[in-house]
Amino acid sequence: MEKILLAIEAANPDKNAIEFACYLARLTKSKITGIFLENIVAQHEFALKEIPGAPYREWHADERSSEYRTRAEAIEKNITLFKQKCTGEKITCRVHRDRGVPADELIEESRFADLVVVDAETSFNKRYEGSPTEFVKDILQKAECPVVIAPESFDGINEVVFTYNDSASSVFAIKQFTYLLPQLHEIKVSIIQVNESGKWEDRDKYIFSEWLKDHYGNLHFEALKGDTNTALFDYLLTRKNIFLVMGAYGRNTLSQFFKHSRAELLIKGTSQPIFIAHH
Amino acid sequence: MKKFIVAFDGLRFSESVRDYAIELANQSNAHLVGVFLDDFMHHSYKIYNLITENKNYHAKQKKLEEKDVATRREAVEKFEIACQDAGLQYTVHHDRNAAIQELLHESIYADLLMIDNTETLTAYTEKIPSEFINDLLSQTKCPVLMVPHHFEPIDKVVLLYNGEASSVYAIKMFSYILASLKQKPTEVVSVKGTNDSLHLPDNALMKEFMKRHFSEVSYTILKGSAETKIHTYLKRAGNHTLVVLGAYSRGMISNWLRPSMADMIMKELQVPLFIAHIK
Repeated sequence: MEKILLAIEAANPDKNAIEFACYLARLTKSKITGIFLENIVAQHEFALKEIPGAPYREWHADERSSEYRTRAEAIEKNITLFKQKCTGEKITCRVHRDRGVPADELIEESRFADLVVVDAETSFNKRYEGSPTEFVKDILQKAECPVVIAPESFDGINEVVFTYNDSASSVFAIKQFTYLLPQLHEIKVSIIQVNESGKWEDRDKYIFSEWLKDHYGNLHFEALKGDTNTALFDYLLTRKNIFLVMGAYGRNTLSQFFKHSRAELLIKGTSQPIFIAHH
Repeated sequence: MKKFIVAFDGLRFSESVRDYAIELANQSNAHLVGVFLDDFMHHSYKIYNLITENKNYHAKQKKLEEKDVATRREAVEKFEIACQDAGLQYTVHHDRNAAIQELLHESIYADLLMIDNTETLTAYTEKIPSEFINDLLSQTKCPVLMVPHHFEPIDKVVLLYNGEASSVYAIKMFSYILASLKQKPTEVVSVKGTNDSLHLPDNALMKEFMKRHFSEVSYTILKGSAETKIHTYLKRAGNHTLVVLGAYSRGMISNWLRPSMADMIMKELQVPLFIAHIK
């Protein structure tokens, strides 16, 4: 991996997402491009302005308002802090400022990037949206490279968990993760399957293992008994310091995961980075 | 290490794909899996001819079957000896069910699939690309390297780029999977309309991306009709060139209207072609 895109709310950056992106950049010796996103329409006050020479007035972001100026200063400060953090950690970084529709800008850039890191609560609405937000859902659906949802707190990675359901798409996500993070090939890897029997069932276990063993040295196969979503979520929320690769489940499951974990989080205070790739 | 699978028709062993496989597996230090498509419906003889020729065809059929088994065994030996001589880690798979299904299934659990572009997996001769190759390319679950029937070592790489998501995706996959070839002189080739500018599509983003992934790249813009220009350009480039291409047109209608770039390259040129596409 060489180029990580980090989606940052220009006025309100998430420190944990920055922290996690820096971890990945150090691990893979990649460059981070911090995309400072602003949604001009939603966030600024508008005023009618007279355009010199034109016989009409137009709505423009009111650049004279104090709110605008405070915000602009805060953004400059955030950009400086971000650059300082990267330099401090010896990471090459660049800053792009995208002032249009945030999701579209990020999606365009993702075509030419290896990975996007985003915080689940990144939002451009003034009201609290819950997570994942509309912005994040949009990114997950349309990004042209894999996406990592950053954890709320980060303590290092001790284990990678692959969710597998005997489908080509779950293997696709696992492959993409492997190509981007070859530095993790010595780490403990658990492959999780959820079914009725609670025993690992897979006619393809031999051929899947053949691929897995070529890439990873420390493999564990686990089957969880029960109904897909609940069993999986309960299991995952008890694990610490894992990197979760959601191959097997689509976006609906992801939303449910967040709803489920929201409730748990208040009690247990855990969260994990989640890697999502789909075609 | 990567897992490269090589598709073989035991009854028409392709020495060319064997040679390309050995060279690339050596350079990449990959695990090579020889997938022998021993489709139980595929024989060296044509059953219809056999039955119509004489009434007592059973004995003759038995002899032909035995000959086929021997031919297949010889093919496996040729592969094994080449791997042992090169000191490579290798495995042999015998897939006895319908060839296309087996190969597509194997592609789920592989990083790269290599195949001779003249394979038909039938006793009949077909025009390139055969129905088998068509089906394979449109449904493969991993990138495919289509090699010509005659082996030449690879000296340089041409990345065909048209600004679209699939062409960047192919370049990304090539970069992750055949990283050993990135040391060869690499060239990005784009074709634009006669009235367009000479800029690379998405110039800034593309060059920023390429700079991190490839150490030495040159850029060439051609003007005119894509297929004609690429055809002339690649013909001049010679057979030691590996070409990277995204997207393979699916569906009969698009084939009638415009022969796809991949088909043109396979039919008219004798170069190895790396194809990867997003669903």
